[in-house]
Amino acid sequence: MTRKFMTRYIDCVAAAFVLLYLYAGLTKTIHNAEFFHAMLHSPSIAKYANLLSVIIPLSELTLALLLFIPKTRFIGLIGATLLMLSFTVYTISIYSSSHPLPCTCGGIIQQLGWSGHLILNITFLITALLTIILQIRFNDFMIISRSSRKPVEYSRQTIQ
Amino acid sequence: MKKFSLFIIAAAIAIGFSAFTSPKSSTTYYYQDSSNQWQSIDGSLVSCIPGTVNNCFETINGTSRQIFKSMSTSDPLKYN
Repeated sequence: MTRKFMTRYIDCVAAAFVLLYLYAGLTKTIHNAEFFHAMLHSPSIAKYANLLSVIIPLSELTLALLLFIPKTRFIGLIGATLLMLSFTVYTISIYSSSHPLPCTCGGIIQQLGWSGHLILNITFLITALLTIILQIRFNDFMIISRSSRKPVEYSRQTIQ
Repeated sequence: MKKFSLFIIAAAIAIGFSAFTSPKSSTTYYYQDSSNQWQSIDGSLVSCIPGTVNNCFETINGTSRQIFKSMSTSDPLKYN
């Protein structure tokens, strides 16, 4: 796998997460009242609906910003994975329950239904985990100068 | 600027989509009025807080009404 391909792949995954979280965060912020009421229908999270209706959109927008900035992209990717993991656990708990509850997700994602939502979440989760593993392995790669015997490049930053 | 292009496009699509996303249509729930006639209620207006009581009751027009998912008393809206 070439360095250029790796960089492109990581950027593409990060951009996909920016698209997803920025869209979800903005939709939940714009339609916050609907998002709050939808959460009240869910027994497991209804008690915390007040808090979650603020924290979830804020977390999504913050993660989109962290993923946008190259220096914070890796931290953003870890955060995005953890948030996606918590969404997936919640989706599985709803999907396996006997009571059909309305989806608290933002915008067009709610059109997918719970099964479609679960597939989307798992796809994003696996992709994010794979990207984190690749990023860690990619960061361990070092280029040594043949003449000076010193590292000329570490990760994606050139050492002077 | 070039390396940001992918992210700028993603952000623009996200902002564009969210601007044109209308609020979601909520589920319709049902309750019985004083004459035992079924009335519908917009799901977004149902906000009973879960507790130790299983069935959801909502104050509608000053009266506490039990909420049902469909027009059947065997299908109440439940919490906890």
